[in-house]
Amino acid sequence: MAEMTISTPPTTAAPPGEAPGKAPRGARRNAAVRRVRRRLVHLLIVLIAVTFLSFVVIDLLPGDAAVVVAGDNATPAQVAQVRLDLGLDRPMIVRYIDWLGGVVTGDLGKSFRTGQPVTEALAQRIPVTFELTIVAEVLALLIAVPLAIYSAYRPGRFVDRASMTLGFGAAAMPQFVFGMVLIVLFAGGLTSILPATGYESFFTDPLGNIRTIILPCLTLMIGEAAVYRQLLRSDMISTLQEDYILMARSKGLGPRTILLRHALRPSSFSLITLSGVNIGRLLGGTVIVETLFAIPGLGQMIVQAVFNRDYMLLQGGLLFVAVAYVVINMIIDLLYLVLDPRVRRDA
Amino acid sequence: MRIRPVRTRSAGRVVTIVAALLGLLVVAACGAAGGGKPNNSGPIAAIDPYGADLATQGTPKDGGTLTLGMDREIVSYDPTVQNSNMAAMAVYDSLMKLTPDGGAEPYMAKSMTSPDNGKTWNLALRPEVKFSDGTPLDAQAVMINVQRHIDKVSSPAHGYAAQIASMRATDPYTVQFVMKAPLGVFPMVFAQPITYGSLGLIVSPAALQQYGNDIGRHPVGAGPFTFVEWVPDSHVTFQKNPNYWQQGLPHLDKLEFRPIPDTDSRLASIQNGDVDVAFGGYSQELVPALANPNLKVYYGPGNAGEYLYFNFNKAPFDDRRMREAIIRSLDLNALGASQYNNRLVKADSLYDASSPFHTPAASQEWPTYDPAKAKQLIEDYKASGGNPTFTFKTTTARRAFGEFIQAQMAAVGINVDVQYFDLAQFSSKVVQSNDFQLTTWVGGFDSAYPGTARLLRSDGNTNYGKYSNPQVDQLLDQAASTTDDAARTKAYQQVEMIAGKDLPVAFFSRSYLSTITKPQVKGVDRYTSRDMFYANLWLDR
Repeated sequence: MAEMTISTPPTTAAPPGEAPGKAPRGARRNAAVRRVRRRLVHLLIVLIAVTFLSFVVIDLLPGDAAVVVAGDNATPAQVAQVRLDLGLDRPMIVRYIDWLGGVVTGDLGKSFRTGQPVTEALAQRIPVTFELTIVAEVLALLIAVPLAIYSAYRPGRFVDRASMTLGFGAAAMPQFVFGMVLIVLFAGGLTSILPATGYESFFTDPLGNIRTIILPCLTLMIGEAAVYRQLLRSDMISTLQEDYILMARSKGLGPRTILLRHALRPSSFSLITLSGVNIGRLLGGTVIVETLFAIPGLGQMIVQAVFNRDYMLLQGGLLFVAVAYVVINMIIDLLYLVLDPRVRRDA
Repeated sequence: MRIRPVRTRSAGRVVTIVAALLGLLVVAACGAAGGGKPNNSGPIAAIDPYGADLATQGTPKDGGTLTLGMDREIVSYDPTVQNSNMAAMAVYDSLMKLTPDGGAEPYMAKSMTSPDNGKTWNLALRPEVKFSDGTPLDAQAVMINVQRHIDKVSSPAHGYAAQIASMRATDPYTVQFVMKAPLGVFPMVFAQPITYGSLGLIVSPAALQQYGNDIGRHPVGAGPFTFVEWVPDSHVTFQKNPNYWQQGLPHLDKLEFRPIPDTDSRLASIQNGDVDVAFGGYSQELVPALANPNLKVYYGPGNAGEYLYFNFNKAPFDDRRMREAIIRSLDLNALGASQYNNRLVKADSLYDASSPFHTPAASQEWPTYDPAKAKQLIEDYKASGGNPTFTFKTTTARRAFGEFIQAQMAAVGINVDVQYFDLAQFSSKVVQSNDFQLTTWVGGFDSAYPGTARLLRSDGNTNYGKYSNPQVDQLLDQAASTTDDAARTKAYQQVEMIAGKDLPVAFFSRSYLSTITKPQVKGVDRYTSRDMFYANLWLDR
């Protein structure tokens, strides 16, 4: 999804060999503005496509919300009544335009099942999933980046091999299995130090919040950390073979300076792209972890909405995920500007 | 500083050690997650199905918060909305209460009597009962609530309410119902759990006025607890109702219900102590809980349970020989061994053995496992021009069961095509549309009325196979209309006997709805459907 525009030929003249971070302020701002504008158009198209397609798909699925709302014991007359009450007798396109009209005025409708306003549901769930995602990503990076740098610095040595083996093991294990292993180790099996299920808000109970998110975040983080380490390690290794690293070494710079100041930044593009994509993916896709640990997040809401044919809730959830995905990629795109002066010239 | 190229030296030793460690971890996980071996074997026996004996549990202690894990999220607290809601009873209580002998007794109501054998019913209320908003639970309040069920066709209790010809308040605390036809079981409809529809859950009319259709998210009742907040998929909390009608109750200060839909996680949560009570739905959590000395289990098999619907409108199951052949070809011991930890609670009759409506003769009537006999019945059916092949439809959660049916049928020479559906699709496109030959269902019930009529009456709303026997309809109407308990028992016993002959569905198992608690949870008062009365609960901490 993220556009890697590094290789496009430069269109604006800029002094060659310019040091990073010293571009004229105006040029950088213009580039940023142009990118944001392009992304916003992009966003609008994505939103309409995503929400319309999901409306169509849900409509094509056999079984509708009325059946689910009326319940298994309902008579056909009862189901018909519920269908009428929910307005499901209207054509799909009318319902979509109606919904779109609501979105413009900030009204996302109400859940068919519970009657909860969709905006309220989103307000309750977005912070939960956001916290899980961000904490898991930060943890993954905190673990992966130092390991990757050290592994690139001393490839084939113990740290490299051990972290690679452990990483492959962790990445190969399905999330729910790893989650169950953690539950057995820490929540009711071997020890009972942490809760197996539940979620406390940080604002009502900070300590409880930390306790409840430890296992879910570990479950989410482990596979990501393994991939990040692998990615950054190989990028670093190839960067370290560049001539300018040799140059830096011959100038007598120490390994810390070379690794962190000269090699890390140019090696981090793939990592940043991937972590951006992952954050976008996780915002709507932590459903396995949310179900396993009974956490009231967005992923669970969206999946339940599909099973219950709860169009309104589903549309609201997808709308947010699509917006978040595009916005995060926009941020990543802007980060390239900061990281690589060549990108600035191109925009 | 030396920067070296990537080396591809084998990392043999480390790999071996790490792999071994990971392997150990997984083995440990599987062992512990499986919950170990059950402490006893054979079919799971009923254990305190209606709750604990309060008299033997010591002096209750006041205070504390109880956390309860539910197997699904609540849809609504509106009694006119179809859903399974374990928390509704905490906020509403119930006017009447089911008794283990199959009847109903007054609970929040003072009395319910009929002067004329079920044509007229007088429901007397207790003047001391007030809603938590301070308004009285009087005759007007009951009539407003019953009228909602009459008006709303989609209410699960509409079927009961529709039998009322008129109602009026004979005094501020008495409602008189005149029925369209005598209905001896009318008190039972004020005692049902919310899932089956109940007229006994009364919402404050002032709250109805205030919230309108949004009442389902802002419940106000006269129960032992008052609603505090509901964050869907996270928790719902209730606090003690200081003006509760039963003096000195409830004992607890707070209830917190949490939806934990994943069965393994729910079991882990009660074992770990994240929750004090878990509402179980499957044998997979009931069996390990029974084996755990640190958990207390409440379980009653209930009536009906898990069964297969035969479609009476379609070949081949419009023919009794084929229905019997199916029942005779299912090896329930094999089913129990492969899918129920060897603890399948077999069902060979409509009513459970503990029910007053069950007779051993009905169980004797029920066909037993006999593949040779099944083959013979199938050959007979073929000889008379029938085609015994069929399609079996079930849910994606029952893949193992689908394979079991396929294997059992292959053994008697029938090739079965199995189709799987997701739940919404299964309910609407298969079961409710009558588009099947053979399909699965779980439909346990506590009280014979209305459970039996729903399942077996020609117009029963869960009679999805369209079984129809005028004699059964007549007996069911008799059982519902009479106020004579002995006559009702006899009618239900006859229905069960006829079901054993007609084979309207293939019963194979009772249900596994259970309440699993920490041992310090006392005062459990429940139905076998798991619905609980919360006033007497206390924590021995």
